[in-house]
Amino acid sequence: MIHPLLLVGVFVVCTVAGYFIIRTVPSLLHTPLMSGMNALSGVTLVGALTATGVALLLDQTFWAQICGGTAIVLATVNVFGGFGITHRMLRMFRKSKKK
Amino acid sequence: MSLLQLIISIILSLAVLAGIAMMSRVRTAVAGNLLSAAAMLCGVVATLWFNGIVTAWTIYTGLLIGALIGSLMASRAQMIQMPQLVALFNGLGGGASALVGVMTYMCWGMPVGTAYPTFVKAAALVAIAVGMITLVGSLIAAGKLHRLINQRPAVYPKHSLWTMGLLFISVVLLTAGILIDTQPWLMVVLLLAVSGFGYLFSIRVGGADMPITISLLNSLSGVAGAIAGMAVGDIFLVAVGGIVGASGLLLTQIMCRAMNRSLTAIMLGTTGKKSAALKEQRQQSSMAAQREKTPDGQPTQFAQTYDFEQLLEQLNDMEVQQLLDAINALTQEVSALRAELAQLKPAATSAAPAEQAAPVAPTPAAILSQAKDVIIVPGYGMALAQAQHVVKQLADKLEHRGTRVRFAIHPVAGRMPGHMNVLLAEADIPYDQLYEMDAINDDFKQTDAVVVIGANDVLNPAARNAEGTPIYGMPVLAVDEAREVIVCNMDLKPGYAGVENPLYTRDKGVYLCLGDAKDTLMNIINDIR
Repeated sequence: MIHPLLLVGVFVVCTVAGYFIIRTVPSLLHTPLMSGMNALSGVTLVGALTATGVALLLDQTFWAQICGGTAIVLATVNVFGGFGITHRMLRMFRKSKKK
Repeated sequence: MSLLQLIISIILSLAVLAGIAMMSRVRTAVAGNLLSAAAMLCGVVATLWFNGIVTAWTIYTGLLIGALIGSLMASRAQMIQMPQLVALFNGLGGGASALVGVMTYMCWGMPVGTAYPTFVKAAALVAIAVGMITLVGSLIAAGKLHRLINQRPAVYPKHSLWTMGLLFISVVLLTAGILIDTQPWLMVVLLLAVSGFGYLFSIRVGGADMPITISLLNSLSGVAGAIAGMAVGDIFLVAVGGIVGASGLLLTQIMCRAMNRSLTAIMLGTTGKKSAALKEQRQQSSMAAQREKTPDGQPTQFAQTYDFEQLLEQLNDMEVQQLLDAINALTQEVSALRAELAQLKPAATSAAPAEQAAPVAPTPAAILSQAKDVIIVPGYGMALAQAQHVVKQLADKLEHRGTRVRFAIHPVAGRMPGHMNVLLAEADIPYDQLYEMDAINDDFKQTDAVVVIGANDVLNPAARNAEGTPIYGMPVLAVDEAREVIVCNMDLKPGYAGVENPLYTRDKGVYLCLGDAKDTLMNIINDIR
């Protein structure tokens, strides 16, 4: 188990890093950015997998498995849908041909 | 956790950051998105491997089902449905985080007794709370955008009281849950309380504030993920969640600034429909009404719920009167300015013929035929009418005649940040023709004609001087400075902010083409010669 302070530290560092990186994105790309962020927030899938996998291997209660299974499905929909839509959107942007 | 896993987590987090950084440029954005996705895939594989759960075969079924549904939705959806789809996916992510919170709180999926039980319990409960707010809030937002729920802000009696009360209860339950041992009932009550809070919070948000709400919920879903990551002790999850949380918050901030609204005001619902100033008026008028009826004077809270319908009517009257005053003042101002302008340059070079020609028989098509420089201002109405392809035809026709065509995009036009850019990109309009408000606002003065398509609040000059209205102080596109304005809107009803647009009653240089933008634009295109 990682020390809680380390986890909180990582959270803070990444928050600051994300803040500064996103500042450079022009409003032209805000929708794809938001949609991409949305897909990334499906990263909770990792947590769902960890919890469910362990629950399954330890043969824990039925409810644990239902909960975990639902979490995995929801998170995967988020990830695939989010990245898919972002990709579709980004591919539509193009520069004028003549220039 | 081994050192190897730590290093891999850090590398993958950096890859995600790099992917996001690449999204700041159109040229690299597609690759950036793919990089983020690839990092996520590696993260999932690494998790399976390091936790020794590769052999838990049943989880693959869940993955497969989710992947199928997600891919289908992403590939089938139309671009017009983008905002609600983003909101929906967002909610699902929040829901997943909440479920992870539930599992860790119940100590499901925890192989050995954790070394930091209090920390895990706290993180689990916060993940449940934030995740559920995200889930319920996003579902309501998606429902509103998809028109399953009435788009107008819904305000229940004692709305703020309930919202604050539920928030208070949630905080108390959270604190209690951290202090005492695992209690399933406590978790269930917390679930219900935060769901109620999420519902009350988002049902009060109206159309114009929707982009901000979605962006905020997006940020929350990242935070929920990060906290769920703390609960299960996964660095990659914490890192990415933190990045998403911060970015969402920044995006929210940018939008708030563009609309001249404070985030707290939106969260507390003070801008739900009326601005804070109007709310004050409501309070004043309700107090006045109260004084009339009971001279001894009763508490204001009582007065506010008292005969709400009548109060609303009074309020509307006041609003109308106020707007009429504003319009009058503006008309005077405009005519004074016009007189001044006429004196300043009685024989202006190219402007004069156009001005003189105007009174004869000006049709929108005729104006556009003569114009050498046109700015198109799209709004949510263009999205509703699905008129972006017709707009493209108009732009093509004008460009073919040698006219310079530019698009002015207000930061909050549409129902999510950058909504217009996506729609115009869908219609194959090159993005280097799209200009942000600050880049183009000074050019409205010089341009020959402006075509407004389904936009209202974002160009309402009342925002500059109609104090006390919801849009007062919001930076707007300076369409009113243009000589010729062609408005292709559905009707003359005020936009979402509910403020009349004085531009429509301007006596010169404004041409109203009301009706479905697709039809009116087609007519104009056919008439351009």
